Amino acid sequence: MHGIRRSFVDSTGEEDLYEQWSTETRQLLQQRRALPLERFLECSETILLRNPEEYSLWNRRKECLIEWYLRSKSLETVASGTLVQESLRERCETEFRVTEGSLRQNPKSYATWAHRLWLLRSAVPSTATGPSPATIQRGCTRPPWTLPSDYAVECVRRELVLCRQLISLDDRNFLGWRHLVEVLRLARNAGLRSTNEVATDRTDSVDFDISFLFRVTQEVLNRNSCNYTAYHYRSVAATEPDNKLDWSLELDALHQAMYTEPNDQSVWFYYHWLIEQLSGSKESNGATLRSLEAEVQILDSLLELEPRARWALEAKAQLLVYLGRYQEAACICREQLASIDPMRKHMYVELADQYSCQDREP
Amino acid sequence: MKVGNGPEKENSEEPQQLSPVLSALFARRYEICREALPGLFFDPWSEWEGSPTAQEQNLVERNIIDIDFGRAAYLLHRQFGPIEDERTVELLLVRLIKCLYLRIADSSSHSRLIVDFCHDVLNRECHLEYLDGILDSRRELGEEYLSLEASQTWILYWIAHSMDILDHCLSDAEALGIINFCESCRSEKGGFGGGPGHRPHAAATFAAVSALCIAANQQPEAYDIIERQKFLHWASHELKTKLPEGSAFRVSRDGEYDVRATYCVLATASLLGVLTRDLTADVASWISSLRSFDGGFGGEPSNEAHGGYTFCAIACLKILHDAGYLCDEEFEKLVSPSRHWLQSRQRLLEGGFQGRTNKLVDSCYAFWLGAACKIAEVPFNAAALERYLLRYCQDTKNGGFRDKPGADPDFYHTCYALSGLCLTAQSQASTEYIKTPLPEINPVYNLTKSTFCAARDFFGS
Repeated sequence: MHGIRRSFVDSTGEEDLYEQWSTETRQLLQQRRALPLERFLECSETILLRNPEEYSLWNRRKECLIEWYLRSKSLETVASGTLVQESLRERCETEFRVTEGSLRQNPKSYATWAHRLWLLRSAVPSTATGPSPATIQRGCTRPPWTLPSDYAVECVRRELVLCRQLISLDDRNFLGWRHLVEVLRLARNAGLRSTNEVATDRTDSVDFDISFLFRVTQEVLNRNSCNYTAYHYRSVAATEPDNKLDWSLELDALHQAMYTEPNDQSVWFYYHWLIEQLSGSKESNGATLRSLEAEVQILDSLLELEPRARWALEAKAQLLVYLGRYQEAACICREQLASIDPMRKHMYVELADQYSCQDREP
Repeated sequence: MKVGNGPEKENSEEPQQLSPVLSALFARRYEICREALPGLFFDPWSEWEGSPTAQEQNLVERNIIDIDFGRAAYLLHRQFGPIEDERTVELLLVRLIKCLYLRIADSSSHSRLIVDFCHDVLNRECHLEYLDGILDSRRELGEEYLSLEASQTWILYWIAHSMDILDHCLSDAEALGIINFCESCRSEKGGFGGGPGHRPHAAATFAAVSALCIAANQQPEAYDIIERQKFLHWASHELKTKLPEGSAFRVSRDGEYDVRATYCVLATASLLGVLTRDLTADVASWISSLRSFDGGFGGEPSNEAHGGYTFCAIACLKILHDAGYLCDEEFEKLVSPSRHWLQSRQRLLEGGFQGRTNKLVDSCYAFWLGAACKIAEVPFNAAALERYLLRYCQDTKNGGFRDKPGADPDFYHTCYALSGLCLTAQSQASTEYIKTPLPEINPVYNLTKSTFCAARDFFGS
């Protein structure tokens, strides 16, 4: 809901320009149902490129496309069938072009991302949960058509490349990340496979499965190991079906990050979660205990170099709790953490009490 | 070097010339601050070395220290004139900084100076002037609001709520301005669009209904503009969406669904007394799927934890709980994993909240996260938050509040900074510095208690 500051070129007649834009928008909103389909699509393009927040215009575009499609299908003959397909492609390309233009100006417009995702959902065959005409009337979450699979593959591929690019420009843009995950899931549901023959180099190649998410997060972390969003999406990728995460490699990478950036929260939040997953189920078998003890030793070495590393101390306390060494954990909180970080003293004292209590439980 | 005349006269005539001693100390201000507050600079400035956010964070911290040292230099100069002894002045500066950041009580001979330094006043008049004239159309919105053409009901709410907090009774013209504009945004199907001609939108509807409730304090017919059965029908049939994880709401037919839309629908329904069992079915289970790996809530399943969305999720759960759709244990179970995340969001140097880990502070999170903390019963440092808002975000020259030092004020940040201040006033343990008297707000709906109660009385629950 932030008022997005727009930068306008300073020139005389500025006020008239804003007045004009404002009037144009209002007029189009009023006339949107009365205008012929093509005219509306033409007029709304200019306005949306300028202000992608005009959600009613995006929604009217959807309605126009649906209207056009249903009309064309009803007039379709065997002969004209391919023409409809070609026109469909052309129309989709227009929508992709307009949304991309809007996103490059304002990569945080919900309505724009939603419009693009709506288009992409047509990559999934609608036979399984096909929308009935009644659903189409009420407004559904996907177009009534299904893209031919070679075009679908092309669209998905382009989408993944675009997401990766926008993420490299703003690696915390959660709308872009979310879109990437949704597209990967769509590709999986549609059973699409990537073809990387067109890829000229590594940066162009994509995978239509969760390994792509691992790859993109890794690229982001290589550029900036403090990127919290990238860690978040690794946690998402790690919980997707058929992910092939190597937990010990993941831990090794984290150990390195801990040493280079001992004060960066992201590393520690992710580490906390990883340890939780590993010690996971209620039975702590011998192997798990040994790995947890190894982790404590790694943290101890770090603390020798950085005795005031608050996050490392918190992590050590957490590990000790998993190992059943509650009093030691409580001691770390009450004595070391409370003095290193006095502004949050009450929080540490509470934690210490909590750990001490666990000790007394059978 | 020259320094301004202090915060009360930012645009005054002559910057005063600092004495050589003060100039030398001013040049060393970052160093002095770090030494004085080792506990606060726990996250050192090199934390995110190299990342663009690190540079911006650095800039925010420097802006803040500049403001504080500027004010200290002005007060010292005013009180003592040119001082020769650098060491004495440095000790005094350090004491001032510690009193401000750590709220240490100091009963010394300099207590007047300390109070002047630490005391921040809410300048009601300049904010009212800033807000004036829009609701009754005497002033036009600037061109920076063109991009909010589809969110104009929000602008009404931000302004009306800010005025409500500042204890300004709407004039008849202002109340009518709200009523007429909302009426022009109202849809036949139910709900309100973001502007005249727009199709109805969940967020725009919540803003319109909230603004109308505030207008109703002055003109009770504002309530009559709201057609609540139509709203319920529209929300139930066009917005409610069945998903694998449960049920959520879209912002509009064909629009995106997320917890923001879900909050807007539930909060509106609750305000209007139409929060039915059907409407709320399966929503809690969808909300629980929003939890990210660190305990916070994202906007959609798989999204990163975010302050705004965490507020929406927790507020939804509170609404469901208070209406009897969630028992105490269920509420606790859903909310408690987010407490640790919430506790880590306040940046103690700046005093404000950040929306996500490793991102910058922003005054609007004073409400989104302050309210989430209030609802989830997570304590936060109210004195530090108040310092951030009044001292660094309040624009006493133009009126209004800004996102952070260096940004321009706008109605959105004015609304949420003021709302955040109400929360600090409600929760603060006493300090010896003068408190800012502000009304109580309901943290779930972000309306003043009196406005909320009046609406409850009218619509029933």
